[in-house]
Amino acid sequence: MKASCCFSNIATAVLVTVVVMVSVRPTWASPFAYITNQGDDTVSVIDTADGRVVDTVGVGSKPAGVAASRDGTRIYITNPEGKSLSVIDGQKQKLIASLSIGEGPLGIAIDSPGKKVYVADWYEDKVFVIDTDKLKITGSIAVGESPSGLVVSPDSTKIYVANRDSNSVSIIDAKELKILKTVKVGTHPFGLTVDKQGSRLYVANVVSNDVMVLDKNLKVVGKIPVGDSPYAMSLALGGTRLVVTNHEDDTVSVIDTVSLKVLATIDVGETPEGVSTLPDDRHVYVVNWFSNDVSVLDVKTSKVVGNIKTGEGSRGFGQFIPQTK
Amino acid sequence: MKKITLLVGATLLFWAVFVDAHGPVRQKMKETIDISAAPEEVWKIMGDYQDMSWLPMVEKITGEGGNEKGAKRELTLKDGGGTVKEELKKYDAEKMMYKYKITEMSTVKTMKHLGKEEAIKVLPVSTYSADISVKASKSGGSTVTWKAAFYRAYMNNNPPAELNEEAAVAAVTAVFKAGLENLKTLTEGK
Repeated sequence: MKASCCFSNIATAVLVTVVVMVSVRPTWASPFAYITNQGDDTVSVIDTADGRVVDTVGVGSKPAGVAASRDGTRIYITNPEGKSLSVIDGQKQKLIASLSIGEGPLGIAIDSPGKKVYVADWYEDKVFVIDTDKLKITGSIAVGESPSGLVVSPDSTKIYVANRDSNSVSIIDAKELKILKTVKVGTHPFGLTVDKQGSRLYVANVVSNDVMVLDKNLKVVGKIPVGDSPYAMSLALGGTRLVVTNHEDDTVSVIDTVSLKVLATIDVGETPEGVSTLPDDRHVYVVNWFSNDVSVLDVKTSKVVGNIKTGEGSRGFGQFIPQTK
Repeated sequence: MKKITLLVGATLLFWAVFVDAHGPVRQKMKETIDISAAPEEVWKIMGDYQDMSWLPMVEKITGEGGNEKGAKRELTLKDGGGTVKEELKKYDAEKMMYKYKITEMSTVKTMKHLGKEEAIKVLPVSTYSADISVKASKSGGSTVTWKAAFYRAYMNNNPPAELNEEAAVAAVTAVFKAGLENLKTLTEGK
């Protein structure tokens, strides 16, 4: 009697779970989020459908940067202290390869087809090009001092790099590996974000505490004061909102990209750094380095709606959720 | 010069360069202490941003702005240990916590490394922020938590031992331990 009662309860629970999973998940599977834990030498894999950590993958020494391919099959991680790149299989959630690279690989970005990965070397003042099929460095280009954030234009023809200690941003021709233009921005640019049209570039200036808006030719469109030490940014709600992590303030600023004004400043976890947008284009994951967790922010309501525990010293610097759309 | 060197060794404070640039790996630190007194009693001693008399190495403090966000303070350390300028980032009397960051430190000495003269400032850290808080503990007393985040002082690859991560962590640990132990002594009246 007792056994049958319990079995029935379990069956109900399983059924409810299945129904919930089906209703939450769109027809295609929700992507995973990959959070680099610098203090643990690991990556936390979060199922974005339910916000649970489903795996923890060991990578190189002191991982920081991350770039997920659009189809989610490969995730590339930079290990600044290990001086290496780790490759994770996005289906099996396993480390499948490592590659030695430079002296201080940090910023990382991937092109739209997932064929080329670009890595900024903090110490060598270079951007390396990695062919993802051969998993080999196929080229490099000298850039400004302490290159940090990198993004690839949506058509994959250009690479934008923030030269932190030169206080500048450069456009690189991806095919020719030539610098097309360099402009001065604010003090110590770190994170970069490009919109889906490839028409606007956003630059987070850590020391001048502002976000600069540039057009695709690096002409300044505007400048928005934000909180203390803006590190990284992500767009949401059809590109109308920009979420900026204020590293030293434990907050994010939500910017209206039309009026170029801060709409809200929201408390998140401690010392936020990386930020990426979920496929619903409404929620973002904010990675908190000191509190070792992810704050889930609803950009529409400007409210934190969830918290996910990750590993020691979470950074998530880069596109850590595959941009499926 | 000789006097300074001795003091540095004696207090375990490897004073170092304060620069804004840094390597990619930031350090994190947390020290706690349990005190047999109500949190309010502890907060009375350490809760005023403009009073650092509970930190043993501090000789003098000047400041402005009280306990308002953005308030400034300058600590002068004993025995020629140098000066540290700090700014208040967050102050919450209800939660009994405040957060601050270092904005400037004086140079205490210099050293040669890889053919270059490196300035050695008060703490071998850069981009340093910290917060201190007191909460009721389960045993009826209080727990004080002091947390800090910082980079090592040396901005390039291959730092000298005086300016590497271990030196940064050792220096901050020494300050926190000394401060928390003294806070316990002052509060418990022993």
